[in-house]
Amino acid sequence: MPQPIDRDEVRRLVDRGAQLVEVLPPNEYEEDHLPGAISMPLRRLEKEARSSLDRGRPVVVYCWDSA
Amino acid sequence: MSEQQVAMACAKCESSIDRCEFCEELGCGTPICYQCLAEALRQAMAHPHQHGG
Amino acid sequence: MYDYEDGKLDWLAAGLPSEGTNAERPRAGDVARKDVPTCRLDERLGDVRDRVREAGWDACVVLNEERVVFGLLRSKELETDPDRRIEEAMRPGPSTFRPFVSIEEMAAFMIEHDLDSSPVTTSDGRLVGLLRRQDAAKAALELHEREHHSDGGKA
Repeated sequence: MPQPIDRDEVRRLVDRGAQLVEVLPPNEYEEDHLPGAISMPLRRLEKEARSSLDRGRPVVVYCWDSA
Repeated sequence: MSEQQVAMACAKCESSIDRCEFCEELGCGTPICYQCLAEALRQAMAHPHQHGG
Repeated sequence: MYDYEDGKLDWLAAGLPSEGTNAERPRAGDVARKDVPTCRLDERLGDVRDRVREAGWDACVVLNEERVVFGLLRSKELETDPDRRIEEAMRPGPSTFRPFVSIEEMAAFMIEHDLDSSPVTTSDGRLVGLLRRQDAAKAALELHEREHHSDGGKA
């Protein structure tokens, strides 16, 4: 179960090398995403995470909001 | 003239409001409620999304 | 694994930078004037008015020590009794807008509602700048001309 974090913690983790993953559809990612984030829509997350993410670095996932 | 409160209606959803949420004026010609304003300005920036769609 | 629960909306509302096609288009926070005069609640209106006029402005944003917006002074408020305190003279709790809102939307609303200016703030109420209608309209027009021109003049 992912650990919930806030904005300040995101920045701290990114400074320490965390990978940012946006789980929204690709067209939304194209319009706006956090700097350095990669796109991995939710339905593909489980399948692609192992091959696309560095297991040695923390991963931060995010969506549009908490709704 | 009696002291009637002038009722305003949101120009988009017609809900009753006290003032325009954008310009805060009582006599605004196209008043908008908070909900409709938030939607309009947020939609200007991102499309509604669906998870796993 | 971590979940940034408040998400992209929270990040953008805080005025933090982003990447993507929207990031290349001007937004409210980009066009808002950062050099708008500011003042505190306990200042004397006359002193603030002199300072505002000397800076060539006709508006002033009222802030606390942490730059949280408390109110706004436009021409109408600035021209009242100079011995009043700012707290009494200002328009308290003005409508504010987030930095990520598109400049086209803001310009359209400001023109439709005949709004001269509006503070742009982060989600925790801190001032980013004052967006003036003429600046919003100009930026929206330039954007339209730029995008229209790049389409080869398609109608």
